[in-house]
Amino acid sequence: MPQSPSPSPTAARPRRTPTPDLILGLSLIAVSLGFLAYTLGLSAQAAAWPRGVLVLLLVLAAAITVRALRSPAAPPGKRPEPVPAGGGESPAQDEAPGTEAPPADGEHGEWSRAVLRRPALTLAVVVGYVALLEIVGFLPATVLYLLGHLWFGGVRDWRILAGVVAGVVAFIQLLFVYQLSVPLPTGLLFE
Amino acid sequence: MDTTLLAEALGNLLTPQVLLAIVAGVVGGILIGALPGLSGTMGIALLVPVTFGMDPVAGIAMLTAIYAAATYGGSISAILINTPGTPAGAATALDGYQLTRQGKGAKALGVSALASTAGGLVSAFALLLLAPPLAQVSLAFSAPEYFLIAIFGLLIIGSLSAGSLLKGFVAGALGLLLATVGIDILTGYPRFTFGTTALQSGIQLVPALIGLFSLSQVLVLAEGRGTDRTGMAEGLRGRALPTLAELKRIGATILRSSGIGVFVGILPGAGGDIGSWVGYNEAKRFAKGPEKEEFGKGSIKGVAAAECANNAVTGGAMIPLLTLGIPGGSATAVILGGLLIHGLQPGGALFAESGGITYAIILGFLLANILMGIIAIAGARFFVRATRVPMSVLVPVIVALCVVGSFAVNNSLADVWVMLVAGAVGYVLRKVGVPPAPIVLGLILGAIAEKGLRQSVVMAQGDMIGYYLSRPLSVVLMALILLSLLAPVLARWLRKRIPEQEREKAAA
Amino acid sequence: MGGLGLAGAAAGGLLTGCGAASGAEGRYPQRPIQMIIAYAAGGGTDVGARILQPFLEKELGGQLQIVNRPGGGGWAGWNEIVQADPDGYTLGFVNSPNFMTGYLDPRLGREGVGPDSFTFIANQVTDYGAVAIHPDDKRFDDIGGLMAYAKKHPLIVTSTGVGSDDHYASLRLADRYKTKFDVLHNEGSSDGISDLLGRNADVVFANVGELTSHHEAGELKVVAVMKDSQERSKYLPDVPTLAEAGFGGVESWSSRGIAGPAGLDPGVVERLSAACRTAINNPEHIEQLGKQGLEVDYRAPEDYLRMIRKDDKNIRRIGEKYVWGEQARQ
Repeated sequence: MPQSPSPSPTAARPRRTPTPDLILGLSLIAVSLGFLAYTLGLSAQAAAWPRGVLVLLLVLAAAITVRALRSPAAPPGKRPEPVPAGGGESPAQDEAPGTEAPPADGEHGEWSRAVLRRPALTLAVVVGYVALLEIVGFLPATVLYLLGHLWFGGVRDWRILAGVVAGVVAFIQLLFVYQLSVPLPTGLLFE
Repeated sequence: MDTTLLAEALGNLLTPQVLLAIVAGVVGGILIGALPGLSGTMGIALLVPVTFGMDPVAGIAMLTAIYAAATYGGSISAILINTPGTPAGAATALDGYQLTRQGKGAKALGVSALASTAGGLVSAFALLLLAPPLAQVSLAFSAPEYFLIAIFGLLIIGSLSAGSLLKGFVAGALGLLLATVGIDILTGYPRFTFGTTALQSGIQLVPALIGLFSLSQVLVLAEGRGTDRTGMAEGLRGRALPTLAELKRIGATILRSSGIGVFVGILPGAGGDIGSWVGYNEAKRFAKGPEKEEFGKGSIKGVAAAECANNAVTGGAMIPLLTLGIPGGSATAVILGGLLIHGLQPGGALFAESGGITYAIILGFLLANILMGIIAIAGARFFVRATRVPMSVLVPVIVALCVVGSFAVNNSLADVWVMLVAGAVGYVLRKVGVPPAPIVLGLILGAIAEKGLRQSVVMAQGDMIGYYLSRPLSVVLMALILLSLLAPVLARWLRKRIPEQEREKAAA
Repeated sequence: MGGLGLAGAAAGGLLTGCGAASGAEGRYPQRPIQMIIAYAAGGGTDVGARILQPFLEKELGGQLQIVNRPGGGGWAGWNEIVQADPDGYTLGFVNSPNFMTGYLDPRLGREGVGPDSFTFIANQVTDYGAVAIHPDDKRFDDIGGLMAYAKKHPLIVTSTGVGSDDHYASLRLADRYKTKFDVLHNEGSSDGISDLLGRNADVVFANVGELTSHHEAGELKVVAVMKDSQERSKYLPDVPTLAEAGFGGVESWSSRGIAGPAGLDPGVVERLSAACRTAINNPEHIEQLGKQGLEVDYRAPEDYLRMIRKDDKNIRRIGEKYVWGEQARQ
């Protein structure tokens, strides 16, 4: 997997902050070079196509880097806007978000701590969940995770907590375990 | 097909057991398709043993009903929560989710249901009436053509890229790179596996897709910005059935996508995932003026194009299956197993000797598509309630389903980790403006492109260029690729020369 | 055990350990047996296993739980069999010779495992290799003509992947009879058949079960079954074996059977082997697999192990020479 650039908002200095694009370009260059090194151990036949792809990636990454260096101080209004999962949010010329319910972007601090804190926490909770299910098994981990994440999201009504947990667990049991006989992990503890 | 055969087929079809099997297949298929990670293939595979004891028409009709309905079902979660239930639903998410955000979720579901049904019906009729000649088309395709089709498909990235074309192509290249992970099928070398068994079979599409779309979406939502849901709530009251004017708008798109879908389906090795992207891209290419701008921002044409194409693939894929015994994908391969278990050998004999059964199965497939449309449109108003659930409840539930879904594909925890990494990386990439859709496209098409290119090296036995030029289909495809590469350049050049009022035509 | 006795007894249903194995001598199985399939649901091995399941459950008087663990060319699943406790509650289907490439090929870094990592219990199916050509091919119309032509002119032959039985089949034929085969790798036999029907490849190497229906329909012509004996395949009575056609000394098959981890208790093996013999030889089971063109070939543990060792020896030599050895690495 390519290493994602980990933007560090702490390193923000008043002038000449590396723009996200610069970090993106440089990380992609690093990823391509690393993978290119890996292809040295392959036979010429097996390596040819990946090398072609990596050279393409390298060229694109270099182009992004150069472009980022040429316009180092991006105007505040032109912060990179988050792309919706669909990808096709807006055509190149049209910078203004044209949807009725636009994501409140373009404000200061796309990479600020305040913005990144909740996604980072969410990710940590999810990683914890997966790590836990390897150890204690799918069902206990899912119950714990659902309770934890719901609580973290501000749900305090015990009826909702119980209802969601019971609903999800029952649904997964009925469909995945009984109908589709998916062998959900039982965990190392109870193997 | 003469009338006695038709009567026999209808007699086989219209029994309570068969009809019940088809209804069960449609309902189960929609559910399986809507859940991320569960594909129609899996549902079919696990039901094959169940069909042992059934009458062949009931058994096979149920399997094909699941196949069709699961392909549609993928669009429900794609539209409502931006989480495609199947790879074939990824293109639908582009516009479908935007519509939901605008409060038109029910409308998007209705359009998707209608388009899916239309695509499925066209493909069913193609299967019924044109199967033998169309099957011959599939044989003309081999490695060189697959390579060129994959390249053609990769050009779609140009139209998927928001903001920066450069970043779109970066995303595509990353997808191509991911596609090379795993044991190289032509030499047996493990590539980029870093010594793990889990990566030897490559990055699985479904976990990567769930991570890149669903989990990264969850992380975006977690930022807590732009969660204004008043618009969505209005969607609950909106009507699902498209108006006559809307039908008129999407009519041509549906016809075009049906054709594309059937064609893609006939090709072995290309499935609903590719069909929906090509359908989407062509719809955008043919759209004019403001409609073109609407793509990616909630165009019902986009939803119709993608959904119609992927359902048209289902009937198309059954053409080489029934006439030649060649399954085009994993779902049809499993259906082949089901046919064999019932003693039905695909081939000309299937139509000649057991025509009564075969045509009953095809008519059952037709019926399944109609039922699917009815259930889907009736259900749209219920499905859309998913968006009324508060985000704080919806997010944990989506995550749990993402985890169980990525696990269930191969019963592998490694796939769950792939999903997590894809989600985290996808989130960061989205924040720097690199869209996830081209990554998925690169992952799907990369393996086809590489395999096609390298197999054609073997097949050319020396002279590559001469070999490609000696194949008429290759030449046509190369011309198409050149044309679509040159089109934007040509359009820009024309725009400079042609007066203002002529612009729109040239751009289209 | 003392104070732990109660806890141990309570955990007995969940924990797998020596205790459970020795307890099994009395009555086996006491709980569901996990049957690992190293391929995805719906594949040939999976369907075969699901067909066998009810017959074997009846003989064992217990429950089987089929678990699909695809990935790593099958080794995601096979590793799980190898690493399981040898208590008889984790078994699986092993596909030979396809599983050999995984441990013989040094590039895959799995030198630690081999036939000795398994206890072989019963072979279920042996599907012999077969060679097919296009019925309208003007250059040759039988195996003799094909071989004579291929000695002078290179032919494109299909394979279902590096290290598959079909790959080794063409390599072994070329190795022994000096034919020129350019191998076109694909992922399944249907791709190869499609290439042959479209005249994009010259020869298909696949298995009898995959080719019979196409042969009967006249779409392609099977010219030889890759068997080193005079006995023809019952599904292709009109096709000679290689030995019959004068090309002895080469044979190829794809077999699958049930195995457990090494060191399985002999009592359990005996119990399983008896149940498998009756279940696999059940005429109804044979008939259901026969519909798929698959030949049921029950083999008892020793006989099954002999077959595996033979595969191992052949693949070791051919693989070293053509797939992963120095010569092949250019």
